[in-house]
Amino acid sequence: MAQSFPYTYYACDCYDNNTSTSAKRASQILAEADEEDRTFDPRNPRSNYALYPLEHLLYCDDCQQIRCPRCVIEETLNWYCPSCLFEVPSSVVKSDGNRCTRNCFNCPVCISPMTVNSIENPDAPSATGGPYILACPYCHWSTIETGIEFEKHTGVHGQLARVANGGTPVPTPKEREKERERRKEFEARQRDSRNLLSPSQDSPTSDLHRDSALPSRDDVFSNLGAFYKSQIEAQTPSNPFSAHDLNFSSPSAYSRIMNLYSSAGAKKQKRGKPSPMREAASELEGLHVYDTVSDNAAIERIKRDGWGSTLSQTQKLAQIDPHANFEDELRPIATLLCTKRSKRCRSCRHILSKPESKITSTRYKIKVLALSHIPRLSIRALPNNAAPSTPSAPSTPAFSQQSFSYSNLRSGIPTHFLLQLSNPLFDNVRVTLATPSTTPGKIQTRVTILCPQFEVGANTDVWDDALSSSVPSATRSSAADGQIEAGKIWDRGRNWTSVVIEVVPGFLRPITGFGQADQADELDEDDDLLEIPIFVRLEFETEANAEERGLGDSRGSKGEKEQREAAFWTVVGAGRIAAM
Amino acid sequence: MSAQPAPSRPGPDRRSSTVPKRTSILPKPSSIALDPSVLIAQHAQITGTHPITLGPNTVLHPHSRISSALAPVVLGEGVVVYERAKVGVGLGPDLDAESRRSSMRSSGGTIRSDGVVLGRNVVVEANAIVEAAEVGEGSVVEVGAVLGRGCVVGKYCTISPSSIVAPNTRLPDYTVVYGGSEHRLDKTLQLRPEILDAKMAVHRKQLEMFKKLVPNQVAKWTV
Amino acid sequence: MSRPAARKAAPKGEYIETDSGNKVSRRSAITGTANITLGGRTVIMADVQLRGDLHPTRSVPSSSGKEVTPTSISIGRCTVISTGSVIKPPCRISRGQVHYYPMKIGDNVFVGANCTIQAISISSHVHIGEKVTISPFAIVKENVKILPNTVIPANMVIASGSVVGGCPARVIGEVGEGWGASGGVAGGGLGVGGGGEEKWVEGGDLRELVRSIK
Repeated sequence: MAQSFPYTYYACDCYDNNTSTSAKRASQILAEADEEDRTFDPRNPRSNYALYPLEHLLYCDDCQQIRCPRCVIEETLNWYCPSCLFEVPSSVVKSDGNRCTRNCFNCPVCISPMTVNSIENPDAPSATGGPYILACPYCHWSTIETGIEFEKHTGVHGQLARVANGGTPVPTPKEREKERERRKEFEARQRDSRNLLSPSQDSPTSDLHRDSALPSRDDVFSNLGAFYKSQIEAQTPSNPFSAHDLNFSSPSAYSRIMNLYSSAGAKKQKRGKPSPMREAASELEGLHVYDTVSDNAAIERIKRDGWGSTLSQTQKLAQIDPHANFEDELRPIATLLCTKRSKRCRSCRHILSKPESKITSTRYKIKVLALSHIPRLSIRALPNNAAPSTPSAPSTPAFSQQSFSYSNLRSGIPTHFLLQLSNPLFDNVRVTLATPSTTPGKIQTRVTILCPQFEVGANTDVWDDALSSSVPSATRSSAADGQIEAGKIWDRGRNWTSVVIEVVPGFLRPITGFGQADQADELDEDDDLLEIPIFVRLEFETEANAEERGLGDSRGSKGEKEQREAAFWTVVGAGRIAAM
Repeated sequence: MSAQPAPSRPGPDRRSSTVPKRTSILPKPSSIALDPSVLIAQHAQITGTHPITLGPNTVLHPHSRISSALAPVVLGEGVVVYERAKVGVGLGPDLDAESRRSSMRSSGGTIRSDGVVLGRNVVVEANAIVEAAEVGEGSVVEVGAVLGRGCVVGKYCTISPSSIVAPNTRLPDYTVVYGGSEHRLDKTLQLRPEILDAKMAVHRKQLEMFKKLVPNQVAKWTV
Repeated sequence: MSRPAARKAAPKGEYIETDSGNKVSRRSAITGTANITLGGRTVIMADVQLRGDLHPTRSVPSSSGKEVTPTSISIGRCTVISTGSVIKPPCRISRGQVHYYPMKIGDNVFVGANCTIQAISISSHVHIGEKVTISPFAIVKENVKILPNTVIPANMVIASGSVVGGCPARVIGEVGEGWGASGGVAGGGLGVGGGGEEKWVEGGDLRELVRSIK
């Protein structure tokens, strides 16, 4: 997700953890050891799936680990339409295909939600206030363009299902069946008559439908469906496992039970190789024959109307009918449903988050956030007035400006950032930071953390802070004297500490005459992005929790402390290096 | 309103007293042709040296800007210009070199850039910038849209919010510019003139509503 | 009022603070003040336009019988409207008459700079980036993040917990479970919000931000 500078992403190492140790081969372990030595590379393609902002991470208390969207299991609590916020029962979701079946539609041209508008003639008002149309408030597409109007302003989904583009009614399944029967008969008669008459005398009373355009996709589908149904019925006249006739004491139920208990011989008999079903052989059976006529027609149409009348790839993909090619084939897109989901830890199955099931509620029954278990790492440019004059500071007007321009970092000029850790835990934390001396990637930026080891105070009550005088004064902050000094923290508060990090942004183009001609290859997008991988290691003592130690473990008596440790990679986006 | 125990309202509008002062420092257009039925809200700005014509029932909302600094401006009957919208050549965002060159070219006389003419019932929404040479009847320039210099926009077009129309573009009637820069034709309006009529009727009612709600400061400009 | 010269001369500071802690910039452009309610500790920055004069005109039968001032814009607590934004109630035709409808903005809503908002309702803990357009009658539910430069079409409903962006807007993601939570480090973190200097998080409690605006 695009975030403005500066930002911090946390790396979840769930990918490495997922391969269980037992399944590892020696070579893998070796490779992993190698990996240990390597620093985290935010440019690695895999990193895309490992980096998350802190708000998106959960925390498993049992595993004592960050849980990212990849290492949780999601369980759908309920479905709802994001537009009308109607909760859809799960049974309906299955039958209606995950879409809103009320009045919610998206524009097939621009995807914006559509509105039901009345196009009532004010001079001749109708009883229902109609006719109505679906119209896009953004790009002004409306169902008028495809010749569809509605009588009522409710149940548009149902009304739309009954009308094809151009305003012609869509036949119901029953009508389709009748039509099929009729045509079958007709064809049979035709065949008979053809046998009698000479082939040249083709039926003068040609069916209307034969002349009309190709069968619609719905027609083909229903034909094919009917064909397969008849085939299956022909194959297995009384399938004992058929779900339809499992009545108590029905013959099929009886034969099913007999099959279950009877000897293997009977089973073998039953499993006799079924004769292969034939495939659809005619249009009436759902066979879709490719014909060049429709292609030629499409080409002619593009010649006549231009590309403007065709659909874009995105528009095509959003359509239910994959063969829609032209503007007049567009159908409003029923809005896709959303879900509310609870999340479990993938390894221990504990619930990490569970929202209240009511659609309108935004509260959570359970929510274990990483935010409240690991420190928040934040970065910002060091306010310039406090920064001592780096030799080149006066010559860079951008730095003296009040607002620091993160997207315009100057190559080769040392820039100071403040890295602040805020501790959500109720214990003091010893922090060790580490970073590669140069950032990975084509542009090598030198990074130095001036004070890589420090302590962050506990997240005690604000009042405790005021009452106690135990604030360690040994490490005086350098913010007071405004002097950046290696090995000293910059500033600290009740539960936060900030340190200075010095960055010398690399050069986008190699400096000529430096013998770096081999690096002259083109820069990719985002190569000028300055992302600093920082390894964070925490050590803290916390009260051992009897619950967590498991039953029967008496060590966890109150007051006993245990040493804990946590470590993770973070990536700090400090800005963009300006092109020179 | 009673739901909130202590609804505090910002202090009364004291700005009215400062208005005459501010207008006096602005360069007044050499000639403003105002129809008596024009509605100009407080803080609307009309500046520039070239003539400006406001047709009947034109509405200028607070902080709208009409500038004839470089070329004259004509607003047709029933034009509405909303908050912070700018109408006039030279009010656009800082042009980069490329577009500046093209606008130079257009001012050379090859393409008509002699001012801005908004047709009847054109609506210019908040924060929009119109430098176009001509905008046809009933067209809507939505929030934050930009019409570059020398554009000729047909009738009943819609420039959707935040869209940008490059300088010297010609848009046929019923064009919809959406999704930033994509164009399509509004066939709904083309096919159904009665919808268009209804739309225009709404516009007329809207104009009446503004006359009811927005205090008219037109007197300031007629003297 | 918005002349630079006047700005320097203003001796009392940028904001007028009301009894309930609302901070209204002296350089804001508010019309129809009688029709606007601010919930308290809400900030209206410079050059913000509040169109309170575009109020509902349909006569509301009041119980007491006396004439009530119609509300056109009501804004909740700790909401921040950044510089240059235009807040204007939506209007539409209903029963043959054009009507303005009252707009409601919830608590702890951050509206970025240069937005134009005509929504009918924006719920609490919503973060709106800069240069966002919200077209008339859109409904924005709780805990929504709207990315900068988004155009929300008219009548769109944005379900709670969505991240929307694009032109026209579409839901492109969900805010994390930690949306708005500062994780017990309130006042300590540098914040993830835009500038990085502020001690607040997007969608979170904006009290700190309001306090820091002077």
